[in-house]
Amino acid sequence: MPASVPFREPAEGDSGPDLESLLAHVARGEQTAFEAVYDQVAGRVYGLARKVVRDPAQSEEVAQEVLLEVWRSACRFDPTRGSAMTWIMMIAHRRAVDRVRSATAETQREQKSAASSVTIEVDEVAETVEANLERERVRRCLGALTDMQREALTLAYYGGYSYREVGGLLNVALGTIKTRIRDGLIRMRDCMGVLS
Amino acid sequence: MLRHDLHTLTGVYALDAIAGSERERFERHLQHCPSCGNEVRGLQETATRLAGAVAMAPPERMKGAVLASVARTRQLPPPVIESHLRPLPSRSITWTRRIAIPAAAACLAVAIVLGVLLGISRQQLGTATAQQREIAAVLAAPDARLFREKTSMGGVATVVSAANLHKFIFTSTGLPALADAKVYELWIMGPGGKATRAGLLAAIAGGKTAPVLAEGLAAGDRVGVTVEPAGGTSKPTTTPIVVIQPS
Repeated sequence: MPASVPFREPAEGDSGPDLESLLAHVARGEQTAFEAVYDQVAGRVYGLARKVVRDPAQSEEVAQEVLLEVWRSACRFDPTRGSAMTWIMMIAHRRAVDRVRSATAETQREQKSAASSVTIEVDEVAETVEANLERERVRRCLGALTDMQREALTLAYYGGYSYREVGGLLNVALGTIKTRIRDGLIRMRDCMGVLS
Repeated sequence: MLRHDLHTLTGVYALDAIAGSERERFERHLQHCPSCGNEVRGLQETATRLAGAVAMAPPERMKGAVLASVARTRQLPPPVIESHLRPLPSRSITWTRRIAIPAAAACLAVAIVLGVLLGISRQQLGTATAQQREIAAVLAAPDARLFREKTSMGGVATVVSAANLHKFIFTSTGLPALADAKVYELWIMGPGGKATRAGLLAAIAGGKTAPVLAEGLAAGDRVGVTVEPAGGTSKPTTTPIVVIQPS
């Protein structure tokens, strides 16, 4: 690992081997292992739900559904397909997106300007400690994207919009949106030192 | 052109920004495109970082609510059968063979027990009897552990023990039905050879016996089952068909 790469840290707080082995125990029905998983991931799951769904009560419901889903399908986690944290956050994002897409999306979400805001608001609710580090890094790397990449990427992920909706919101051709999101995400990956 | 088009979907796929038939088409493409798969993985890990940046402490009450749901929710069995149905990349097959089989045994064991128990608690949710609440408490105990053993008469005995509560739950599947004059009796067998009655198994229904909750389990005790005259006896008169050491 080259010492000159400043942002690449040896151990990522979000995807250590711990969570993988905990999930193996959860798969065997061990509730104490599940509690440890909860402690590691609940803040991320809830935070993402809040970001996408926004309404606190609905976000809490989504977060609970996600965590229960982690318990139910722990046997299905396949470590060859990615980290445990990513598996969990994929479930979380999908549930959150399902919630906003199935609901009357227009009234339940704020308008484009709010959703596309790059600033990650500091909520009145206490933030978790590790989030501050992650937040700084993500902010820095988002700042390195072009405005158009950043806008498309944050609308899709934090806004929970499909790329077709993003295309409509930004009035940009779908092919361009696909490329913009992919290019932006690849730049984020490289900036944050994610090993693929 | 088409292939290139599909490849540019890695980003929107990693962000869940693609739905319906388009998503399915891309997933089929992924099965035959290792480079797409690798890229998707890296981009999904990247999305996880985006999620980490908005982490927020959940309401305090959420933990208790989730743990309570977990205690009464049956887990899914692992997807071992799917590997026979469709071809997978060689790495997945290796993984399935190495890991999924022991995982399957573990998951199914829990599912069987929880399934039996859930049958009760769901039916009468809200009006649970004292015994059902006690069963739920054993399942929810932080130190709850599950043990399975084949019996000498066929079938499998399952014990979920909660050492700190000194309680356990016993269920079985596949035990043969007994003549009317006979019954399966459950025992707590102490280290000194002393056996204490722990209940009679109810008649077999659907290949299973209803869960029996017993207390008085101490460290080092074992749980055994014998075949006894109807009504049970005060101490075992036959060789146990199964003995489980729940520790």
